[in-house]
This record gives sequence, C-alpha cells and structure tokens, in this order.
Amino acid sequence: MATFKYVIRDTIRQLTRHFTVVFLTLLTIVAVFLAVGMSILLSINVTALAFQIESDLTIEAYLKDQNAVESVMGRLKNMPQITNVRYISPEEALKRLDEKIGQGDQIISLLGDNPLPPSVIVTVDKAENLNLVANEIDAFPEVDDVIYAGEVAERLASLAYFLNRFAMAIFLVAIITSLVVMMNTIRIALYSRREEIGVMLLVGATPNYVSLPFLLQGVVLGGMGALMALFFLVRAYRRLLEVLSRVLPFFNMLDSPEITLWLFCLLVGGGVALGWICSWLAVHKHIRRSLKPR
Amino acid sequence: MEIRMAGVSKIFDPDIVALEDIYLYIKKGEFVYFIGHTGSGKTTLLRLINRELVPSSGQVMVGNYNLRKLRLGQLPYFRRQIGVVFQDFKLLSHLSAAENVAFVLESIGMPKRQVQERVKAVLSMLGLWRRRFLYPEQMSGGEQQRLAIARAIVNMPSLLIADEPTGNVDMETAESIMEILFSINASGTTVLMATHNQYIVDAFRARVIELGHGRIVRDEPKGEVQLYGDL
Repeated sequence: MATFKYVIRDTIRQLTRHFTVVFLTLLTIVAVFLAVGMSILLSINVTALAFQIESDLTIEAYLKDQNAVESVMGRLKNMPQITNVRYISPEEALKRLDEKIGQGDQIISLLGDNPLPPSVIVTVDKAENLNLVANEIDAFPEVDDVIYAGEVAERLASLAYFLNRFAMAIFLVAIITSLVVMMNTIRIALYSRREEIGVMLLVGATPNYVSLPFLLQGVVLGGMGALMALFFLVRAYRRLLEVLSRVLPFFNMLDSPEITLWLFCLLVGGGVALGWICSWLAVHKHIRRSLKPR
Repeated sequence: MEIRMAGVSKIFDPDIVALEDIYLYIKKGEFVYFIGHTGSGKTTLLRLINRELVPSSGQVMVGNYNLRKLRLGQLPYFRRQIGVVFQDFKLLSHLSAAENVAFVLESIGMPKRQVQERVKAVLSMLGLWRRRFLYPEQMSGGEQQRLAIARAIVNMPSLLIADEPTGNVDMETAESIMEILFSINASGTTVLMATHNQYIVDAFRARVIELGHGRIVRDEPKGEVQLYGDL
C-alpha cells in the first residue's frame, strides 16, 4: 500500500515537475497518433469500398433505343452465367437518380426532357464471369455502353493495397518518433532525479520500486496522448461523415460504434504499450548502470 | 555483521592502485577507525564493503554475503542491512529532514505508520525532532551530519559505514556525533569509520586500521595511535 501511494505521488510529481517538456511530449504523441489513426481510417474505408464494389455482381447495359429491349432481353436470358435480368425504363432510371441525389426535377427543367436511356441490369453468377459477360454484352449492336464494377474494383483494390502500405509506413515512423520523444522525456526526468535515484539504490530500494513511477509516467503520457488523438479523430470523422452524407450521398463511409471501439483499442493500447516500453528501456539502462559496481 | 577481506586489490583505470593485497577481519559488533592520508584507500575500502565497487582481485565477505558472487537482484536486500553516512551527506535538498529519513524506509516499502514511528524515534535520539520540517540547506553543518546519521541508522542496520562523519563540523559537534556512533555500536551494530581526526581517535578509543598507499600499515586493537607516524 505504501509502495502504491509512493508510485502515484511520484508519478504526479514527475508529470508536473517538467510541465513544458511533458506538455510538448504529449502534443507530439497526439500528433503522431492522429496521423496513425487517420491513415488507418483512410485505409479501412478504401478497402471496404473496394470490397463492396468487388462484391457487386451487376452489369448495367445502356441501350441505343427502346425498340432493342425485347431482342436484348431475349439473348441475355439465354446466357448461362446470368442469373437475373431486369429492364429499367428511362422513367424508372430518372426516379432512381432522384432518390439518390434528389435533383430529378431540376434535370428535367434544365434539359426539357428525360435524357436517360433505357437500360438493363444483369446479375451474373460469380465475380470471375463479370468481365466475360460485360464484353459479350458490349459487343451487342443494340447496346450503347456497358458499366460494371470490375475495373473500378480493381483500381480501388490497388489503391487500398497502396494505402495499407502507406498506413504501415506511417505506423512505423510514428512508433520511432514516439520512442525517441518519450525516451528523451523519461531520460530528462531520470537525469533531474539521478541523485535521488542513486541514494535510493544505495539504501536498498529495489530497481522495480525505483522504476515504477517512471514506467507509470510513460504509460500515462502514451495513454493520454493516444486518448486525446482518438477524441479529435472521432470528432473529425463524425464531421466528415455528416458533410459527405450531404455532398456525396451515394458515397458510403464506414460508420459503426465498432470502428470507434477498434480505434480505441488500437490507439490507446498502442499508446500505453509504447509508453511502457520507452520508459522501461530508459529506466532499465539507467538503473543497471547505477547499480552495477565499478 | 562480520567482515572478511582476503587478498583484496583494487586498481582503477589506468593502472591506479587504490588498494593492494588487503587481508582484514572485523568481528561482529566491533568499532573500527580507518585512518590514513587522503588517497590512502580508506573510501575505496569502505565502498568495496558497500559493494559500490568490486575488487580487481581477492574476496570480500560481509556477513554471509560473498560480494564477488552477489547478483544485482540481491544487492538491494544486502544494502538494507548496511547504513552509510556519506562524506558529502547525500541529503536530498527538496525533502525536509523528516522526509529525508522517511524516504529510506519508504524505499523499502515499509508501511506509513511504522515509518512515522521510526522517524520520530531516530530524529528524537539525534536531537532533530524539533527541526524535522527544515530542509537540509536551512540546517547547520552539524545538523546535516546528524541528519545523515539518522538516515543511515533508521533502518537499524547491522553494519554502519561512516566516511569522515566529523569532517566538516566543530569539535563539540564532532564529540556529540561520536557519542551517537558509540551508542549505536553499543547496541550491537558494527561501525566502520574513516577519519582524519586524531583527537577523535585518541578520545574515543577503538580498533584503528591505518592505510598507506593502498596497504594496511598498522592495525592497533583499541590502542593509542599516532596518526601517520610511519608514513
């Protein structure tokens, strides 16, 4: 109990003793963890989007005119890879567009007529057949254009791959920066108390007893820094979701409490672990050197 | 706590011989003065006993501990049996007198109530209880010296090492410090004291070991010694 009180009291003393250094360290940790959190959010969103598009097994074929509908539908239904065919009239297409972006009336009033062509939406049995079926449909003389997710998904997948690597790089840089900054902060605390630590070790204090306040200081700095970064990150992400839902309503970013929980575990857990490791490295070396007889 | 040294030498880089071929036996409960010129090896010898230093050769046994074989993990528990009065006191300037003493007991995880009782007892014994709230710099040299002794004995050590405890104080204070050290010795604690003070050695008789150029040049059991006579 006495040890516990001492550790808490001493940790608070250390955190307030070099307030400027501690504050600057905290700011650095916040910045570092903000960068890590942002890169993680960006990466998981792009990955989710790529997956979502990739799992979309539909092909949309735009027809040249209304007369071609029956012959095209007939041929499509005979293709074995196709599981479903649905005709979308220009009126229905306009209605769907209006539901998505809410500007159908404006389009009509601007162009004087519905500019959308008739189309058919085809669902294929598996993702590997998307390219094959899309190319076959594209070759129909009645078909003006074919749109499907395959190409976009491929590009997004490669972007997600790059972003994952980018997030890893940010993560590594962040860890190294945090290590250096936090270790230096702990070293300053150790240096300012070297005399006291020396006397403590001479009178029989155990290395654990001496090092605990420093370890706790590292944990508090890492944990608090990560927690503050998480707070700013979650607020900024919520704001971004709000803005995007108005500006790009069809763009669905990941939004669930699990993401916040996942980020909490990753950032705060990482901050605490990093704080502990940095402090341990700095303190352990100092204490071993002080204890070791010459 | 008894102390044995066999063939102990200590050589500092580069080739500075601080101690050479020391053989020594100190009985449990003995009071021993270490005398000799500056640089004769007194402090090095005491630091070997406290395991701040390791010998370049030879064996040092303190109580049941063979200091050459002592692992770093055992060192704190070994040092808890030893009280040290440092030449430069090593008092912590940001702690009050009471806190400086309590700090030793807190460092070894003693409960608060017991710490308070011990601190009160030891500060009262050394006449510092009324000065307990003062910081070291607000105290006189003699008071600081007594505070350093209080810190060294608060844990009731089996061995007390005092390096020049009367070095910076007037004769009256030096005598009071010696009375305290002898009363601690009377309770069974082995006391090792390095000193230059001939008056003290003459007035408070005990075994005297004289060092010269890192060697024991005289070992007088509780007798009158002319300091540095043969050097």
